[in-house]
Amino acid sequence: MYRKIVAMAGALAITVGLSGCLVAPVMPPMGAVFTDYKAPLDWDQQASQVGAREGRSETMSILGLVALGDGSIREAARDGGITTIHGADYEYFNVLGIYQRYTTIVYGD
Amino acid sequence: MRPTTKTRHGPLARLGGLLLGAAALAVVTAGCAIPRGATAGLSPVSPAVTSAQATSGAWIAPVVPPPGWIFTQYQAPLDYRFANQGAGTTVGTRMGTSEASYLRIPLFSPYLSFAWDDASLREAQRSGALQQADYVDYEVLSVLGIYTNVKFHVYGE
Repeated sequence: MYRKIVAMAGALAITVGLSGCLVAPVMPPMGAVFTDYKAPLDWDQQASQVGAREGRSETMSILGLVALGDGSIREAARDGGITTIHGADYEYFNVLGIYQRYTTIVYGD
Repeated sequence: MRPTTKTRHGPLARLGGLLLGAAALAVVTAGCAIPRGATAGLSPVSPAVTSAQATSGAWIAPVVPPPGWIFTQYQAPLDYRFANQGAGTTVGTRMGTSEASYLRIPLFSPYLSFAWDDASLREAQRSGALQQADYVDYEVLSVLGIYTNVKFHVYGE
């Protein structure tokens, strides 16, 4: 029993250790087991308007081994049909480092 | 009848194992909990740490989605401030690109590693013949951390 617990903890540590972590300007506390939150990407709001449209772009990482996707501002603006960007948030989803998803969300008109 | 032998762990051994496991987990997960948006000016990183990270083939940017240890190819925002005193940021129609590459020799890194090319924004503006830059995205291609290519896409008019 004790060996099984140690083996499971080791496997978890290796999985989490292999998986790279997100870096962003503003990062709320994360859960090692499960994380799903939205946070500001554009935190410098100076008389910014609230855009009527929203666009998204995303990247994903599987097991921390392969990472693919287009999470650029350009792709998010294209997705939302936005020509003027007023602000941006991001969304981060993570289950045990096995599946991680980063999403750029832009707002504008 | 053969006697069965059962390994018993004393309370001290169990406590030591638990402490070791907790410490290992804390170390590997610490990177997820510490904000590292150094370029945003929110969390200063010491030059030594930044230098070690840079020479290992890792890239430093305000926004870094989770990378892949074997293969990484993604685009992410570099410029993320769009308010522009209330006017917003126009999505430009033209694009200019600049890039830099990194190559390291396994087993001898970071000592045998090479980085080259011009990834400046000036070069990107020049390549796209841009008169006005509105915002910047970046793109990363990395294979096993041995070869890494970083491109900067500048959008404007």
